[in-house]
Amino acid sequence: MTSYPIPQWCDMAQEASFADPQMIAQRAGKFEKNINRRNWIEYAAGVLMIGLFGVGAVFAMIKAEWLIGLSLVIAVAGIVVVLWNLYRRASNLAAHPEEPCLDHLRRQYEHQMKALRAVPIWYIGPLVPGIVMFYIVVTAKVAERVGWTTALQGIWGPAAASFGIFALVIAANLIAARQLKRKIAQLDELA
Amino acid sequence: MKHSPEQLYLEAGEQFAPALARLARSFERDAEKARDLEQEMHCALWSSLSRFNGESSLKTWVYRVAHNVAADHVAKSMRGPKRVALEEINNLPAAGNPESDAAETLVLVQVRELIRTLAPLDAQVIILWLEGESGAQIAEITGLSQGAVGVRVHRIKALFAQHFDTSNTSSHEGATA
Repeated sequence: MTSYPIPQWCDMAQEASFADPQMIAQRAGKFEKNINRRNWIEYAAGVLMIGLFGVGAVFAMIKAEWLIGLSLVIAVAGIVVVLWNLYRRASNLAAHPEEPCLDHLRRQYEHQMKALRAVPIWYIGPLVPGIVMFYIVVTAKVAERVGWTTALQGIWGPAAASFGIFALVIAANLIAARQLKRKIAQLDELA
Repeated sequence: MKHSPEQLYLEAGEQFAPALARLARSFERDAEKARDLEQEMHCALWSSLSRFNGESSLKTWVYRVAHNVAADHVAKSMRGPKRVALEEINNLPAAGNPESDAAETLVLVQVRELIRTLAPLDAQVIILWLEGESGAQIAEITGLSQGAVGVRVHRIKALFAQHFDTSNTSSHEGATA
């Protein structure tokens, strides 16, 4: 016989019923629209960056600054790769809501941990070639006029800031991945 | 005889609709969001039942789907209190908004507050225990070992016992004062 620790608990929500299957089908469509809208907002930031870098590349090409233009085109390609990776990684977690709760949680944590650990490769890595090339070309151009010492002194600050941000992003993600690894180990102990 | 997903959905609705509503209202304080979460559970269940092959009971299937959807809902919520493990809780939390739940007894409000404070697996164990599920059933639904379930159930029983002892003592003291 089932025993209820707090009988009043099971007295609650007795009026509840499942939603009509037809309404559920409509709602599933609404969920899909919401997810699509959220994804579009996320990708809009990337599209804005592509626009800015793209316009920069066009202006550089018009002024016959071919190497600067090329570096910006490579940067745009890097952003496109990052957006593609975001899309791929966001959608490759198969939904298995019927699996045991522990397995479900573990799968989510593992998916997130792998994504965080791989941030240097799929998020930062594609952006590096374009940005490195941009700094080198701009420094060389400036050095033609004022000499390498002055040019390197001028580029040092912005370059350190850019790569410092990259380093911070990588470090923050690796720390988060390590925390998730600990959580996964704790879950494994419960099985 | 194999049932169609539609039949299974209707059967699940007859048996478990109130339990899923309680689950949604336990994880989500906001009434409208709780209703959304409840319907999200219905959606996930509806989609999943085409894969139901009878390897587990319908009850286990329904509870797994609903609890996993609820856990995902918590994970997606950016705001909200930091969740803690059950062993870090020493008392039932104070009722967050007793006015809005005037029809319920105070302890039910407090239990819900406790559930919203806990890490998902701990919360899931407590809700299933409140639903009258046995340790073995809770272990099957959650995937936790029976030992891990037992430890959590023991802990929550101790919390409740302590709470009711304290409440009784307070009311006696109040009566004799």
